Amino acid sequence: MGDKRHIYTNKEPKRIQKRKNLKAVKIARYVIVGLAVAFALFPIVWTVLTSVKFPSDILHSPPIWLPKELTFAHYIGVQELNGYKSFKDSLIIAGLSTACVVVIGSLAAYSITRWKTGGKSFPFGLLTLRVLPPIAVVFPVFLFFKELRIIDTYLAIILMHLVFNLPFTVWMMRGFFREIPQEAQESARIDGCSEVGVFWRVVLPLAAPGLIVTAMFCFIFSWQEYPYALILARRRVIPLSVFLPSLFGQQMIMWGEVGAISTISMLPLFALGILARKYFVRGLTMGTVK
Amino acid sequence: MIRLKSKKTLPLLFVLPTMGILSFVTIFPFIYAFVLSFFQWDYQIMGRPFIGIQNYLNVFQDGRYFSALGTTVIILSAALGLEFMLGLALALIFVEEFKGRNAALVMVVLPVMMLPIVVGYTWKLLWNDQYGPINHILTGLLGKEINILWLAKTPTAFISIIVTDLWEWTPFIFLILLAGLTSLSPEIYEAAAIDGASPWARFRSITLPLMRPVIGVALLFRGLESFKIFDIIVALTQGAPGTSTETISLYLYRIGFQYFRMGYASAANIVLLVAVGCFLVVAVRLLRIERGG
Amino acid sequence: MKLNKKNAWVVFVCIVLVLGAGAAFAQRSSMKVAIEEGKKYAGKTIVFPTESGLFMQGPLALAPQWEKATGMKVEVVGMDYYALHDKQIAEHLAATGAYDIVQYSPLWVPDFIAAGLMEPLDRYVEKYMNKEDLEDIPPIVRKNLMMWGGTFYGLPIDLDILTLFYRKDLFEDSQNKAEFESQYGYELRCPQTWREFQEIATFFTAKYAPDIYGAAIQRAMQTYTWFEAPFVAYGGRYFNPETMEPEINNAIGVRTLTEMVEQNKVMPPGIETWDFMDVLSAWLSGKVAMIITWPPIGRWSEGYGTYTKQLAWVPKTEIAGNVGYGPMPLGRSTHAGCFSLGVNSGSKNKEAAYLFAQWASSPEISLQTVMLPFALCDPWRISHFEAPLYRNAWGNAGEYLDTLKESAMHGVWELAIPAAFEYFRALEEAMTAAYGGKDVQAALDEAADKWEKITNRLGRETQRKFYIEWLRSVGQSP
Repeated sequence: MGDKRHIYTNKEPKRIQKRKNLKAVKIARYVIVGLAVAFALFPIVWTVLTSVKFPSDILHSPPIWLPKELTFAHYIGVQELNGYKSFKDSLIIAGLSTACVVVIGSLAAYSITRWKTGGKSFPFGLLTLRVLPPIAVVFPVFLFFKELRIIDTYLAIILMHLVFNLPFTVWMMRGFFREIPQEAQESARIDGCSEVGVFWRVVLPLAAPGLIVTAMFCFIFSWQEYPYALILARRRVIPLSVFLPSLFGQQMIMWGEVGAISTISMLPLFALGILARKYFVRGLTMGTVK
Repeated sequence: MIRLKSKKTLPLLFVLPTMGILSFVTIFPFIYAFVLSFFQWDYQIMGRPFIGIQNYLNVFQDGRYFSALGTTVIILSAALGLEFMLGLALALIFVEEFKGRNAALVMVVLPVMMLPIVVGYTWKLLWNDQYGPINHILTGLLGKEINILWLAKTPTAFISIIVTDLWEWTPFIFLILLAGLTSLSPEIYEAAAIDGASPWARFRSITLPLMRPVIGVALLFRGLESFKIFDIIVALTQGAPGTSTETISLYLYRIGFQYFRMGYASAANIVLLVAVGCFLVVAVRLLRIERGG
Repeated sequence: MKLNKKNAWVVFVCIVLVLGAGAAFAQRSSMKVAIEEGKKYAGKTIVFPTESGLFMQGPLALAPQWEKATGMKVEVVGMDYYALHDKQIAEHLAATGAYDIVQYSPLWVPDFIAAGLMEPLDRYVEKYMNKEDLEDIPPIVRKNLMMWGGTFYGLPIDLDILTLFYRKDLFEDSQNKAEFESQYGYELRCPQTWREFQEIATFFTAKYAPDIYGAAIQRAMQTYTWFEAPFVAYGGRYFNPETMEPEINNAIGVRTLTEMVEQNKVMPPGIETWDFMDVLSAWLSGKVAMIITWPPIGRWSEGYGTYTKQLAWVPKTEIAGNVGYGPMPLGRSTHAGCFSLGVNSGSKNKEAAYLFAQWASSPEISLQTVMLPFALCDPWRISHFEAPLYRNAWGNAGEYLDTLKESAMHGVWELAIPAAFEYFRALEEAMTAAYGGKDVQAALDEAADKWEKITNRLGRETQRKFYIEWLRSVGQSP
C-alpha cells in the first residue's frame, strides 16, 4: 500500500513556483511546525519538571522554569500512596480488555465482511454505541452491576471498556478485512479449508498489521478512560485515572506526586506511540476513510 | 451437511460474543433505567413511589439541564471549529516531506496519548494565576504585568477549557485529516498543476471536495467525543464559577452520584440518549457519510 | 516559647507519661476497654474512609498504634471532602460493604440516616463506654456531633470552629493605630463587626499592598461555610419555619453575600480561587494581616511541629509570636465541617469498628490526635482545652485554646436536615457565580429556586419537621 502513496507536492513542476517564494514557504513551514511542537510539548515538559521539583519550587510565584536542585522523592511518595498498584491495575484493565476486544471484535468484523451479517447499516449502528455519553450509560449499569455484585472488580471495568472498544474494533477490522484479496481465501477454501480455518490461517495473518493498530488504539482508549472507572472502581481496583484525583485534598494538593504519577502514566502510551508510529496514519486511513 | 449448517450458523456464531456483551452492558441496563425513570427513587425518601412521567416533565422544566446542554454545545462548537482549522492547517503542512518531519509528527501527536484527567490537572496548574507559567509567559510577551484569574471568571474559564481541549484533541483531527490527504491520488494534482491552477484553487476545487467524507468522519468522531466532555471539566473548574461551565455529563454525574436521585437521573439520561440518537441520524444525513457496504 | 525539636521530645515524653498514668489509675478507661475487647478481633481488617490530604495524616498516625495494641488491621482510604459524602452513600447503595467506619460531618447525618448507612450505637456505648468520658464532652458537642433523635450515632474526633487570626505586630504598631483611628474614628483592634473587618482589611491593603493584604479567606471549596456565620449572626434564617420557603435571598442574605464580594476586593488578587493551601502559605509567609480559617493554622503559625515530615511543604512561619486570636466578627463562628466516627451498617465487623472509634475518641488518644502537629483534628473535649500540656505548647497557647473554646460554645452549626449537602452545593454555586461577577440578588434567587425544588421533592412537611427539630437542637426558637 505504502508505495502507492506518493507525496503529491513533490511531483509539482518546479517552474510554477519561484525560488524566493519557495524559501519563504520553507521558513514559514518550519516556524509553524516549531510552534506546534513547542505548544504540544510544553505542558508535558512542565509536568515532568514538576515531578522532580522540590515542593517549594512547584508553588512558586513567579514560576521557576528550571529548578536548581532535583528530587525524586515524589516518585517514592507515589509508592507510599499505592500509586504503582494503580499503574498495575491500569495495565491489567487495558491489557485484558484489549485482548478480549481484539478476539471478539475481529470475529464479528469478519462475519460482517464475509457474510454481510446484520445488513448494510449494522457496522455503523454498532459505531453509534461508541458515542453514548458514558455517564448516561454507566448510571443504569451501576444499578445493574450492583445486583450482580461485581462493582469494584476488574471484570466490571473491562466490560464497560468493551462498550466503546468493540464497535471501534469491528469498524476498523472490517476495513482491513475488505482489503484482503478474495483469491487467497478462495484458494484456501478449494484446498478444503473450513471457514474457521480460512479465518484463522489466511485472513488473520494477512490482517495482522491492522490488528496491531486496532489493538494499540483500544489500549490507549482503555488506558485513558475516566467516567466508567470513576463509578465502578472503589477500593480493590483503582486505575490511574481514578487514583490521580485522589491526590487533590482540600488542604494539600500533592502537586509533586501528581507530576510523578502523570509522568508515569504517559510512559506506556508514549512508548507505544513511538514504536508503532508508522501504523498510526495508516490505521486511521483504513479505519475511517474507507 | 456440516458445510451447509455452518453457512447459516457460523456468521451468527461469529457475531454472537460481540452482540452478547454489548446487549448485556447496554440493553439490559437501559431497560432497567427505563423502568426506574417512572419512579421517584431518592435515597432520602422511604419507599419508591410510582410517579408516571413526572420525572420526564421535570427534565423538560429543568433550567439547569438545558443550560448544561448549552454549555456543552458552546464548548463543543468552539473547540471543534478551532481544532478543525488548526488540524487542517497542520495536515496540509505535514503531508509534504520535509527534514525532521517524522520526529515532529511524533511530538505533535503526543498530547492525544495523555489521560484526559491528567491533561486537566496539568493545565489547572498551568492556568494558575500565581504559580502557573501562562500568566508569566503572557507578561513576558506583552511586556506588561498580566494577572488573569483564568478559572475564576466565566469568560476566561471557557477560554481555558477550550484551549485545554484543543491542546489534547487537535492532533487527533490532524491525524485523521493527514491520513485522508495522504491517500488522495497524486495524479489529480499533476493534472491540475499542468492546467496552471493556483494552490488555493487546487485546494478549494480538488482537495476539499475529495476530503469531504474524511472531514465528515473527523468532525463526527470528535464532535461526539467532545459532547461527552467530562474529565477536563472535573479537573479544571468543577463547573464553577456558579454552574456556568457545568456540562451535561457533569450535571448528570451530580444528579446520579452526588445527589443520588436515581429515578430522575434515569429520566434525564434517557432524554439525553434519545436526543443524541436523533442528532446522530441528522448529522449522518447531513454529512452523507458512507454507511459501509 | 518556641517549640523546637528538643522541646517536642519533652512534650512527647510527657504524653507517654500521662498516658501511662491514665492507664494505671482509671481501671476501666474507655481506651483500655476498647483495646481489651478489640483483641477479640485480632487479624480482622477495618476500612476507614477519611478526608484525603492533611486530615488523613491523623488516621494514618493512629492506625499503627491500634494495630499494635489489638492485632487488628486498619486500612485508611482518603478522598476529598465532598467525595467523602458521595462515596460513602454510593458504597452503601451499591452494598459492597467496603467501609466499616463512617466518617461524617453533622450536616450529612440526616442523609446518612435516611440512606440507612448509620448503625445506631446505643448498645455499644452502654456496654463499653466509661460514662465519665461522656461527661468530658461539652453538651453542645454531644448534641450536634453524636446524637440524633436521642440515639447515639457516632463519636467525635474533630471540632472545626473557624477562627480569626490577626497579626499583632501590625495591629499594635503605634503608627498604624494612629493612622487607622484618624481615618476611621475608632481604635484598631481585632474586628468585632463585619464592617470593622472590611475597614481594617481596606486600611492594610491600601497601606501595604502588594506586600501585605488586609485579609484572606478561602473562596474555593466549602465557601458557603463563611456565609453561614454572618448570615445567622445578622438574624438570618435558612427557611421560614412556617412555610419552608427559603430566606437566603432576602435582605439579610443579600447583605451577607454582598459584603463577601466586597471583601474580595481588598483581599489578594485571585482570592476567588484560593483554597486552604493558598491562605495558609500567604499567612505563614507574612503576606496578610488577617485570616479566618480552621484552628490548625494557629499551631503552625507558632512553628509548632512544622519540622515533621508531613509538614515539610508548609512554608516556614515568619510570624511566630505575633499572632492574635479571635472569633469571627459578631462573636459567631461557623462549625465548619467537624468530624465524628460512626459505624457503617453494612460492615461485617461492626463491633470492631465501634471499638476503634471509641479508642480514637477516648480522652487519652484524642488528646494525642488533637495535639498532633500535622493532623487537622482540633480540640473538642473539656479536658483538651484544659490540658496543661497543650496550654504550654507555645507562648500564648492558653489564649488560643480559650478562644477556640469560647467560639465553639457560641458557634453557628451548619444546617443539618435531609439534603443539606445539596442545599449547600446550590448556595455555593450562587456564591462562586457572585464572585465571578453575577448580580448578588440574582445569584441568590437562583439558589433559592433550587432550594424550593429540593424541598418540593423531598416533601415540604417532612423537611419542615426536620428543620424545626434542627432549630431546636442548635438552640434557636422556630
